[in-house]
Amino acid sequence: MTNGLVINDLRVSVEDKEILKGINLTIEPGKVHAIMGPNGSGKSTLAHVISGRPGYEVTGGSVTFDGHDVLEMEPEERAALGLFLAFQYPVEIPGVTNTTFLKTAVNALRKARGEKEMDPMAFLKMLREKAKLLQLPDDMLKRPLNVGFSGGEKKRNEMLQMAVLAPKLAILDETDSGLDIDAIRIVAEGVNAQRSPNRSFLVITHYQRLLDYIVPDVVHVLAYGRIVETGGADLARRLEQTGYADYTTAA
Amino acid sequence: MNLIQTPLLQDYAATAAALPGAGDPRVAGLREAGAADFRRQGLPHPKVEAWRYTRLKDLETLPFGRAAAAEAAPASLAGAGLAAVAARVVLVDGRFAADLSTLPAVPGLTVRSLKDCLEAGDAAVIAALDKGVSFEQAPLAALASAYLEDGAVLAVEAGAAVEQPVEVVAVSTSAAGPRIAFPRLVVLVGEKASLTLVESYTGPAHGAYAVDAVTDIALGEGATLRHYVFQGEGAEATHVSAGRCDVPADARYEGFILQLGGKTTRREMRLRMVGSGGDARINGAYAAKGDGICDTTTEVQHIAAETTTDQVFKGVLDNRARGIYQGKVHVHRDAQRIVGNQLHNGLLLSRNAEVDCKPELEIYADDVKCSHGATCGELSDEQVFYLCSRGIDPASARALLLHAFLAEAIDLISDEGVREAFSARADAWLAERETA
Repeated sequence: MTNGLVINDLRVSVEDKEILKGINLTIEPGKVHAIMGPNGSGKSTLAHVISGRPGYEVTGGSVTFDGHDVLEMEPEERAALGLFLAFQYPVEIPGVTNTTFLKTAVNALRKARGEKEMDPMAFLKMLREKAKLLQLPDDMLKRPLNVGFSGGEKKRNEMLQMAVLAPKLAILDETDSGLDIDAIRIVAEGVNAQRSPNRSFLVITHYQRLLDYIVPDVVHVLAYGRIVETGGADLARRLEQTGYADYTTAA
Repeated sequence: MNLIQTPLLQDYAATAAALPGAGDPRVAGLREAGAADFRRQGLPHPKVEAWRYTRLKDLETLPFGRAAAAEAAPASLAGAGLAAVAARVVLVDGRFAADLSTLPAVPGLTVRSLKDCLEAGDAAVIAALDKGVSFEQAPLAALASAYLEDGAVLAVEAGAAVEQPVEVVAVSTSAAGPRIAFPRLVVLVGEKASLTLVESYTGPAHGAYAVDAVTDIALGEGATLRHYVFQGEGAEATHVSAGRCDVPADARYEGFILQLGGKTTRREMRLRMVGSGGDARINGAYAAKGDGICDTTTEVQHIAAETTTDQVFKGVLDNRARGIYQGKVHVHRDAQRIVGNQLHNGLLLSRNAEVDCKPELEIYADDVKCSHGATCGELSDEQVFYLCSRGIDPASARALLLHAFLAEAIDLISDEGVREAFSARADAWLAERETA
């Protein structure tokens, strides 16, 4: 059994159009991988398929996490396994406060893992501490989930969820999109504070900028549904100079 | 248009002579007027616009008779499940049950049986029963008046504040053959007085029965009434009700109607804004499943200038259930500078569920702010997936979203204890649905 995420020859279609054409990717515990690539290359599709979003047809290949067949699992089972997706477009849920939502999620995960529910006071204390680290004001915890949040607040709220739910693998789907440089720094600090030997990250981004703050161990370039190049952090910097033109013409 | 035939009222002549206060021409007159109204209109007919969406099929087809004095004890007196009340008045099959009620002395509050008031010929009570609001298009309210017998009279003296809820639990009992009960409430709130009132309707979980309830409210100037209704009837119940309230100058009426039970239910509330500075809210939430029909009908008359009304209703419909919201706002010619808003949101959990929403605005003044909005939709897959991706199972995710949907209405209840109890009742309905 291989620990961490192992993707083997993953092929995915949406409405009979093949988006991912054989992805191979292994992320070991503690590592930060980045996936870069032009628009429409399949970056978000990869994130969605790993997290179990409906609407995608897996036509071949496999995804395992710590040896478990992820593709056979429901989204909530994947979460219990330790997978987390920070949404590119976080969903607004009127009438459910941030706190209620997170408490429900934390206790659902604990239940799935055979653990006791968290003491409400201990939960609130933990939640406030995490929120403070992300510079989220207390009143945002009382507001309905993402309703009326600015773009930056929504992304920081995703980072708060990640901090509270403490996944083994966090996938950040273009978390930097629509953020100004200060917000990117806060998000990156949130991620860096979470880096640990048993937590890995898959950072999906269009721009190299985020990777100045979250320095990846490995960078992949995804184009036309395939990983076309893999390298170190310097690959991201090189792409910033040359752009994606090489890959779009080659493919 | 032919009247729908019904055995109801056939025993009227024999019955009325034995009812309390029969010798008092004012009381007998109320009954006569009700009987005449009902004979003229018959059971609600779908060709009458106000009853287009709600047909009282069981009343049309089953041999309903007037409920006699209870033979069996009520199954439960829990009502809305309030943690604390100032007093609890129990009506069994419409009749005041002093032995089952909890009536401690509450400063400024008087609780009497309607029967006693009718026998004593209480002028204020009779006036409240006969304040000239027509029962046109409310034939069941007319029927209830024909059988006017008992119920509860709550009175708060001028200037007194009864903040903790007074609950009236109207409970139906099992009886041989389908029976109809007529719980009647008279609520008198004096000048600058305030009252928190909860009406709760419950009955046997199974078996057909009917409740025909009427609530007459008289508010003094500057009075405040928080008027909350919990309709938690049994699965085969027919529940029809009519409430009437005049809101005078600087008075405040805050109403909330929670409908979670019954097979065919219709709650009507009629408000007349008769004094400047009057403010009224009628909000509500409902949920229906199976072949349930859940109707909420409101009628607001803005008669005086500078009056405000606001309505927010939210409903959840499962299976083949139908939800109906009819909201009529009539702004009279002299009612300038009024505000009248209404909003209805329906959530359909099944392809076969239906919502019929009919706002009606009739505006004869030219300086007014009126609005109405209606939406009808399904639970969002995006929202469900978002919650599931955080580890919440789909059933819990849907329950959380439905709770949140109804909570947006329930949270408008200003009394915290009532808000919590109503929220718990709604959650219990949702939990039962998930396990069904």
